[in-house]
Amino acid sequence: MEKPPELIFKAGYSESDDFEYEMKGYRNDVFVKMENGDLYEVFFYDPVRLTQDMGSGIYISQPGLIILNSVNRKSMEHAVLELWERGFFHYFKPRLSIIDKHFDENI
Amino acid sequence: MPGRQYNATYPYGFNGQMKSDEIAGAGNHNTAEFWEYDTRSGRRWNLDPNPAVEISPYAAFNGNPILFSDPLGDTLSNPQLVDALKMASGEIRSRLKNNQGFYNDNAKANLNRGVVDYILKNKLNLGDAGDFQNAVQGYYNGLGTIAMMSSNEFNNVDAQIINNKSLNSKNAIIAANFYMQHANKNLWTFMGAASDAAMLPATAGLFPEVGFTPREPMTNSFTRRSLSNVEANIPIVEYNGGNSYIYRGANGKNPLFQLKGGEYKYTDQTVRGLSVHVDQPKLTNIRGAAYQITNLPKGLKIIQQGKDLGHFEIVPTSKISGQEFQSLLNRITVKSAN
Repeated sequence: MEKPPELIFKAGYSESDDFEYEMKGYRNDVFVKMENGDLYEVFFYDPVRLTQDMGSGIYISQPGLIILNSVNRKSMEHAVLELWERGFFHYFKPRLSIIDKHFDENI
Repeated sequence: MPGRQYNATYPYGFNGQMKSDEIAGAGNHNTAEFWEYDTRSGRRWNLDPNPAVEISPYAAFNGNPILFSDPLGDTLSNPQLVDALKMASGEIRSRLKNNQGFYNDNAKANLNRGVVDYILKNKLNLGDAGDFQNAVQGYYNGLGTIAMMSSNEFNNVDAQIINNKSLNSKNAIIAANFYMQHANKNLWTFMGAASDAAMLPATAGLFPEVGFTPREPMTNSFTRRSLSNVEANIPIVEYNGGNSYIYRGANGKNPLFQLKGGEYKYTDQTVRGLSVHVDQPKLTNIRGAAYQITNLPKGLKIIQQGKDLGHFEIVPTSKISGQEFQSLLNRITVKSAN
């Protein structure tokens, strides 16, 4: 039986992260790692922050966008597991590495 | 008889009170309608007939015979304290109403102007002028702190105490003690070299007979402490119907204002920055420590973001690179809030 995916946090993870990212309402440093090593980039938003970031814009889009009620580890893992079971990640192209120049474009 | 004395000269002592030299020797005891007090220890024999919670019922002149007078022994008198309280409160009230912020150059200018006008109008001597200036300073800091934490609380204080017709000097002193305790946490001064320079010649000009020549700024210990701890433009944010300080949590491992990868984004549509929060105890509990932001460099601002209304983010005022943003973040000043 195929092993469920795991979450990789590029900025690392500590318990207090849940507090910070729940407040922020988004987390954009997460990758889903499959058993075969494939990596998929995901982006978690809660509805409030999504609305704020959208502002008066016409649309907002992000590869691997997943909307959660609350951005914490438990919700992220729950959502990713369900989506994996439904084959959600088959629609995406896996990444070779978590190193991504676009990720750090503003830094 | 040995030890007996007789003095037929002027019978009144300090504050116009009757001397009772027969009780403890010449000049050692005064009496008035509501008290007998020992001039050496500054303590009254009887309990204060009009006591106040924060002042000992045995205290005379609130322990400060220079600042206060009390001719009858029942009511401290210093109308300037009440005026100082009302001046500070009026400025806070106005700024709150017009959402102008409490600690900025405009506030400094208004307070300076008000104090100088008052000194000139009332022809205060140098000592009283300094006391008045310090009183306004203390009240403004204390009331400003209250107003920042809760505008409702300030409005209650303003309406029920400061603009209460029964406000007298004693109540003002109680308020002063309370507000100055608050002020100690928030030492901000509207007084600077400019105000001192403006006041000294003005005051000196009123009293040419004493031959006063301005030599140095008027500062007592409180003022000096304030001047050495200037915290102008302390960032505050609107929260829960009032104003609040803003804090950054820290775990002791990472630099306080280090951006994480992907944390900063600035587009026409979306602005993301560094998290800060109004809830200092919560930050301390979760992160281990919290620091109050005491100064934000020009080019940065604080905006509310996320569903938690106490959560804010520090972002640039215009689009800049990540390196430029980090450089500005590195210039933020803080003080420990724990």
